[in-house]
Amino acid sequence: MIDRLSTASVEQRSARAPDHGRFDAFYRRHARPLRQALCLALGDVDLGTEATDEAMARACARWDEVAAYANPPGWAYRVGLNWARSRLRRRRWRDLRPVPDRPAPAVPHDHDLTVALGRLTVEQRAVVVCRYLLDWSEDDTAAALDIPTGTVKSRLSRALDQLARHLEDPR
Amino acid sequence: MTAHADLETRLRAGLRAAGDALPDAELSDPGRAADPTEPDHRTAAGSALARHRRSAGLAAAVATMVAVAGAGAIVATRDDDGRDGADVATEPTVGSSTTDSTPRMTAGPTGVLGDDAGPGVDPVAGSAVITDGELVTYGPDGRPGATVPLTPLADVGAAAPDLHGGWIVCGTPPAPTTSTPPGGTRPTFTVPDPGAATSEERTPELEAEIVEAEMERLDEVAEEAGAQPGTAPAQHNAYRFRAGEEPVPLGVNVYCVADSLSVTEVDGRPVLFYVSPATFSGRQLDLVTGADAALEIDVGDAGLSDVAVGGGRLAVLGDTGLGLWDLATGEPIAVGPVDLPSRPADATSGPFTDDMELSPDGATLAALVSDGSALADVVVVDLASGAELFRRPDAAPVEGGELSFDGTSVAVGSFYDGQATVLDVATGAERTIDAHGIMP
Repeated sequence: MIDRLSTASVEQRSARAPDHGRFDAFYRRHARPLRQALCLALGDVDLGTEATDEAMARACARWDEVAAYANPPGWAYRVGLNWARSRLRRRRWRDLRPVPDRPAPAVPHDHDLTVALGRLTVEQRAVVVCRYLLDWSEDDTAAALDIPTGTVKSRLSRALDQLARHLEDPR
Repeated sequence: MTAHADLETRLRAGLRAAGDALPDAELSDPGRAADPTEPDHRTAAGSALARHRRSAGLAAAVATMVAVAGAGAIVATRDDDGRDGADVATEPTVGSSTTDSTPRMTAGPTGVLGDDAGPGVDPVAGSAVITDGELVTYGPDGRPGATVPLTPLADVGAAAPDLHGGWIVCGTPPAPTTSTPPGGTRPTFTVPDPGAATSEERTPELEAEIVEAEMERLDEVAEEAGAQPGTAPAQHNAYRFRAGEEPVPLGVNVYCVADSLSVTEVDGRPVLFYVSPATFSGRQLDLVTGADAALEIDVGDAGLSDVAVGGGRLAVLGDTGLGLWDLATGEPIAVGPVDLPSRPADATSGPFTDDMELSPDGATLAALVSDGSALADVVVVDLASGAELFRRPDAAPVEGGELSFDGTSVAVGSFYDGQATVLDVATGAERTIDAHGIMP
């Protein structure tokens, strides 16, 4: 589990030192939960996995700088989300071609919740994941995503309303 | 949240279970990374860097921000979910004493732009960044200027100045409107995948990934609009925005990706050039009369790698070199021996040109030029003589790099840097504008 942003652990604080060697510790601690969060937020296992690699690559390449941030995992989460959205918005004029299905995350034994989560927008899922997977507070979520706390609250509220509606009538 | 207490409990358990149930990934043990700056492919850090570099090379157009230059404004758009610059556009300063690149628009439009789009319309002063669905301009001094809400659009993909103090912006509209089947016109201007992107390590598999991602995005939009997957989204997704005014839908559906919108004057009127997602062909919308028509200029179909519209001209770079056409007459214009590399569509390595931008008068052209590596030079050429007027080596990363050109200055930036560097073509002087928030 990624640490809450406002309560940096000793390991986090030590990781902020400009020491490349600390990147490996950061990677070991945060790569897996980051991948989980990105896969679930993006609703795409492959994209989430690649976004994790991209975010970690950028963190690695500028670790001196990133290590000094208040919340490197939050930074990496935002980087991964932004990279994935840019990827999906690839701006090239291309021919239409059939594409294969992509693997999507699924909630074991809860098909309705899987479907309901899939119907949220990426923006909504990004907030939901922060709150209910990473256990970040609204303020910490806002800081990580670089959006106002009010926006976090409104997105979360709409997402929960939408999820509740779908779960009541999962058609 | 108490109203959803049970749901929150279910969410916590469900998300954790879903996270644990994810299939194994290629995230290897990172413990062996000695120096992250020298990637070891056996380690997680090295693997991540290697993957990053691989995709960086082919990403030529993850255009995330549009920067501007010189006397113009810098504009970047960001999604309402935040922080994702979508496009950067140069706003020629209309009627301003700070620039000579005043648009020539003088007619009082009565069409799409409305009655107030006459000459000397309030320019969007300052430079800009978009936050939470807003387009913010930045002035030459780097200070934020006007803020233009982009409601009702979400997921903004491109923005271009309309030459009248407003902005043409495309994105995802709130709800589908009318279903517009692909028109019967068969345009002669088609842009197949330019393949301009860009890496020595570009492979067919990666190419397929890009196409797949884009197709998925289009299908999602189409599905939201009630259309069938595999077809173009039907809703109209382009609006004209201007500070203090209600957005005006343009009544067209555009293929909304960075650099896909351009406004230039043709026969004295501002015309929006865009790509139809239904046919993937060029179209033109007269912003004064509202007339929408296919772009009937035959530019050939071999190896197109990049296009640009500006100064009433269309520039096309292909395997045989750079071509230039007059948009009003459709006639070709002579071009000097311009040295811009074009990578064949089926090539996976080699030099290439990307992000071409014509100056407001169409006389010069700026572009990002790469020898195939992950960094690109900014190059400005004179089209009549073919002479290279300016070159700034390694000015931008191929991935996420964007360029904007107002004829005298080039603004170049990267989504990942959070800054735009403005280069003066005449003197080579450069300054940096900190576009806070564009980047993580």
